[in-house]
Amino acid sequence: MAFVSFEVGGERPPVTYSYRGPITESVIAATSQSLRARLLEQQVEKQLARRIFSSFVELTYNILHHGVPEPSGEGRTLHHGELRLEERDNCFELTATSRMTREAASGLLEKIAQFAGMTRDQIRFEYQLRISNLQYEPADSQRVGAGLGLVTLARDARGPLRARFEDTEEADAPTCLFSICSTI
Amino acid sequence: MDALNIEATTLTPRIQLDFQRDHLQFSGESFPEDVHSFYAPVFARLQQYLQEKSDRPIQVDLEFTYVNSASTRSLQQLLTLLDKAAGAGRTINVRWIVCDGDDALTDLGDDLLHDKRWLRYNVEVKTPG
Repeated sequence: MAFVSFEVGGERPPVTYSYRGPITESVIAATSQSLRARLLEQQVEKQLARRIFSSFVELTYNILHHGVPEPSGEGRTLHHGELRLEERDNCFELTATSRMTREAASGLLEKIAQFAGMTRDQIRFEYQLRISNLQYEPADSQRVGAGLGLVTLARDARGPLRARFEDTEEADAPTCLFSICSTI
Repeated sequence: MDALNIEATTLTPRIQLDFQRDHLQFSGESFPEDVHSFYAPVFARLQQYLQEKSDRPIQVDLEFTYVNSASTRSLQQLLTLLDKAAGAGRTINVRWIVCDGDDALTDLGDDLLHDKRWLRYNVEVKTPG
C-alpha cells in the first residue's frame, strides 16, 4: 500500500494514511495494523494514536454495517470505501466515504446532528448512559453493532463530526456517496 | 469441566477459562465483525460453569488493550452474567488491568463496572518495564 504525502498550493494537507477499496473483516484487520504502524512511525502521541485507531475501526465498520455492497466480479458483492487520514494544524482529520442508500445516509446525518449540539461532557454522559443500558438488552440479542459507534466517534473527536452526502452521476440512483469526517 | 482456551488473533482476544482453578482470563484486542458469533459459545460455556453449585471464589482478569463499540456490548453481557452469578451467592473478583496512561481503557472499565451490584472489582495499572 503506497503512502502519499503531498501539498497542492497549500490547500491540501499531507495525507498520513489512505485506503480505497473493498472493506471486509480481513481488510479491516490489515489496514488497522498498517495504520497503527504508520502512526508509530510518525511518532504520533500515544493517546492521540489510540483515538485515531479507534475512530478508524468505527468508521470502517460503519461502512460494513450501513454501506451498500457493489458487484466485485465472479458474482460477488463487496462493500467498498475510502478512508483518508490527513494532518492539519496539529490535529488529524479522518474521513470515510462509501456508497449508501439515501435513507441510511439521512438517518446517519440525523444522528450525527444530535451530537453536534452537545458539549463534551454531554457526549461523555450519553456514552456512559448507552453502555449502562446495554445490560438490559436480551442476552441473545444478535443486533449488529451496539448503538455506540457514532457516540464513540463523537467522544473521540475534538469537535463536531461532519457528514454529507452527494449524488452519484445517475440522477435517479437510489444510492449516494456518504462521507463522515472526524477531527481528532 | 474442561478448560476453554482460545488464542488471540488480530481482531479477537485471548481467552483462557480454567474452570478447574476458577480463573477466567480475557486479554488483547476485540473488534471482530461478528461479535455475537465469537462470544456466544464462550458465554454459553461460562453460563454452564456458573450454574454449577460451588462456594469457591472466582477470579476474573480482564486485560483488554482495545475494544470497539460492538465488543463493548459483549463485555457488558459478560459482566452482567458474572454480576448475576455473584448476586446468587458466588464470590467473584474482577481485576480490570490497564496500561499506565491508557485513559480510554481505564474509563471503559469504570463505565462497565461501576454499576455492578455484587461483583467485587479493582482497577490495576500496569507500568512498563
